[in-house]
Amino acid sequence: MSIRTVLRRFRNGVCLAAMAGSVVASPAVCAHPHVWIAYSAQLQMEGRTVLAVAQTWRFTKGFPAQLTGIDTLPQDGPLDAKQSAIFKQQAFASLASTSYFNHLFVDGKPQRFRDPDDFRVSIDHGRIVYSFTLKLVSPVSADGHQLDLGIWDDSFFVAYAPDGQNAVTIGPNAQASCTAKSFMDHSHPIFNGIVVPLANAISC
Amino acid sequence: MRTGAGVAHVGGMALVIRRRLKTGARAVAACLCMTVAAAAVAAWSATLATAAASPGTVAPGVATPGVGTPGVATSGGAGPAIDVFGRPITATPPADSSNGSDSGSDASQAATAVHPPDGTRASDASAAKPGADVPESSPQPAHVFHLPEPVRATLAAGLMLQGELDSRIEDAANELHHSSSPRVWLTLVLMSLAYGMLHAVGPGHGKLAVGTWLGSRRARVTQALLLGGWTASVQAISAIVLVFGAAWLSASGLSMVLSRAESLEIVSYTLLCAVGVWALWNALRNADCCFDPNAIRLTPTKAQMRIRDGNGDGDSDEGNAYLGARIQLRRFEGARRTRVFGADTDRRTTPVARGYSTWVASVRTAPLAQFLATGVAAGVRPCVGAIFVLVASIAAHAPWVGIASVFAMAFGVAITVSVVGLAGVGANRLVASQPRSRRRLQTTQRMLATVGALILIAFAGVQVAMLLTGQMAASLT
Repeated sequence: MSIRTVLRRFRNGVCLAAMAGSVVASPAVCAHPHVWIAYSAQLQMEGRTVLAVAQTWRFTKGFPAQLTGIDTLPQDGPLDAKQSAIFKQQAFASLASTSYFNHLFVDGKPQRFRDPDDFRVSIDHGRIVYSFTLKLVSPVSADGHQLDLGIWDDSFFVAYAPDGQNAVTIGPNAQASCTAKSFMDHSHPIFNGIVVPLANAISC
Repeated sequence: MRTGAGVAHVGGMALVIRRRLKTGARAVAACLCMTVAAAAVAAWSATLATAAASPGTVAPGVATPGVGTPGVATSGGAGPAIDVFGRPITATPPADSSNGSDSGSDASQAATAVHPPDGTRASDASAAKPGADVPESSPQPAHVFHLPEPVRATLAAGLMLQGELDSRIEDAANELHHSSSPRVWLTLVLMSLAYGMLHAVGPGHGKLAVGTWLGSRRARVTQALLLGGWTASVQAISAIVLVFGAAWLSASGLSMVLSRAESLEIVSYTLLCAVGVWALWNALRNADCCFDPNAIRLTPTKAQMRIRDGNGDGDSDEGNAYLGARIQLRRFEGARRTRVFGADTDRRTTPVARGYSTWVASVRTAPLAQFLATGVAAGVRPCVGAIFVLVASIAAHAPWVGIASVFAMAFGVAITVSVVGLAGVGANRLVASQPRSRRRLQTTQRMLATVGALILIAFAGVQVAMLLTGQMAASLT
C-alpha cells in the first residue's frame, strides 16, 4: 500500500469522523457560557446546623446590564431601591426555579431554599455585584452527614468560579471544628457531562 | 475561422456567466431579504403587545438608543421575555425553590432536617414534615453522554478557552465607554475573529445542516467554502438586524432581544426541514444529485435531458449519453490531460467537450436557491455572544465597532464551518470512491442524497415537533 493511499484513507477517515461527530453531538452542545460570575458564599450555621447561605455574585465588566432596561448606572456604590427592584425582576427572579443555582446536598440529597432575603445590587469597580441570603426551608445538621455545597448552572449558560482562594467560608456562629473544603464534584457533571463543577464539602 | 469560433465561444461563455450571475444575484438578494425579514419580524413582533402592556416600572431615562422601558416581564409576540441568564422572566417567583422535584418523602431526609433555633417560621416546621420533603432520589443532572475523561477534558478546555475569549470580548466592548482608540477596537475585532473560530468548533445544528447537505451530493470544494461563508454571514446579519431593529424600532427596546433571538430557533428548524424535503424530492427525481460521467448509455435519461435542455447554451446537444458522444468525449479528456501537462490545448477543445464540461458543471452545481436556503436555515438564529457585543457597543455609542466585531466573528465561524463542509465533501467522495460504489455511482449518489435529506428532515422535524408541543424549550446558543 502506497503512502498516498494511506494518506487518502486517513483523510477520508477524518472526514467521516467529523461528519459522524457533527451528527451525533449536534443537539448536545451549545456555545456556552455567555455570563460569568465570581461567587463567594458564607454558610450561616448555628453550631453544626446549616441555616442559610449568604452569597455575593460579582459579574464581569461586560455583563450586558442594558438588557434589563436600565441605561444609566452609578460609577460605584449601591443601586437605589428602584433600580435594585428592576434588576431583581429582570435579571434574578427567573433563577428561582433553579434555587438560584445553589446546590446543597445532604448525603447526596438536594435541599430546598426559600426566597432570597436582602437582595442588593451594587457597583464595585465597574462590576455589578449581587448580594443576597438564601435560607434553607429545612435547616440541616452536619452532624454525621455529608454536606456538599456548590453553585453552578446545569446548562452552563452561566459560568461560576470562586472569587478568590477561600470563596466559601463558615459563619461565626458555627462550631469551631466546622470546615469547608473544595473539590471537583465528579458526581454532578453539567453541560452534557463535559464540565465538572466545583463544590465544597462541609464537615464538622 | 478559428478566431471567429473563439470569439463566438468567449461570447457564449460570457452570456452564460452573465445569466448565472444574474440568477445568483437574484437568489442571494431573495435570501438576504428572507433573513432580514425574519429578524425584523422577530424584532417587531412584540412591539404592539409590549406597547399595550402596562410598563410596571418607570424607565430611568433614555440616554442610550433602544434602552429603557424596563417593565417588559410581560411577553410580546416573541414569547416570554428572556433575561440575561437565558431564562424566561417570571413576574412572581415561587414561594420556595428546590434543586429537584417536590414529590415524595424521605425518612432519612426528615431525620437530618431540624427546626430553626428561633422557631418563628411556621412554614419551616411544616416543611420538615414528610410530605413537604425533598425528593427521595438524588436528582442527577440531565446529561446524555458519559464521555471518556481525556475527551471530556479536551472539550472542557476548549469550552473554557472560548468562554474566556467571549468574556474578554464583552469586557473590551464595555471598555468602549471609556476609550474607542484603534487599539481597543482592533483588539476587539481580533478577539472576535478567534472567538468565532472556536465558537463554531462545538457541534451545532448549523454545522450539521451544512455538513449533511454537502455530504449528500457531489459538491465542490468551492461550494463548501461558499456555504460556510454564507451561513456565517446570515448569522451576523441576523444579529445586527435583531439588535438594531430592537434598539431603533421596537417600543420595548433591547430588553426583548433575547426573546426574539430565541423565537428564531423554530424558524431555523422549519426552514431546515423544508430544505430537507426539497433535497429529498430532488434526490428521488435524480434532479441535482445523481450522475455518472463515466456511464455509457444508448439513450439519455430523463434527468439528463432535463439538464441538457436547461443549459440552453447550444453546445450540449450530444452530452455523454451516446456511444458516439463518448468517443468524442475521449478526445476532450485527452485534451484536458494534455493541458494539465502544460500544452496549449484550447484550440483542440471541441464543441462536444465544451458541452460536456458545461453539463458536468451544471450537474455538479447544486440548485442555488437550495444552497442559499440551507445557509439561511443554518444561520438565521443569532449567537448570544454577538448580541451581547452589539448591545455593549450601542450602549457605548460605538455601534460600528460592534458591527465590525460581529463580522469578524462571522469570518471566524465561516472558517470553521467551511472545514466541516469540506469534511462533508470528503465523506461523499470517500463513499463514492469505494470499488462497489464506483461500479454503481449513480445509485450511490442517489442513496447518499436520500440519506442526507432524510437526516435533515428527521433532525429538524423532531426539533420542530418538540418545540411546538412544548417538550423542548427554545434555547439560546
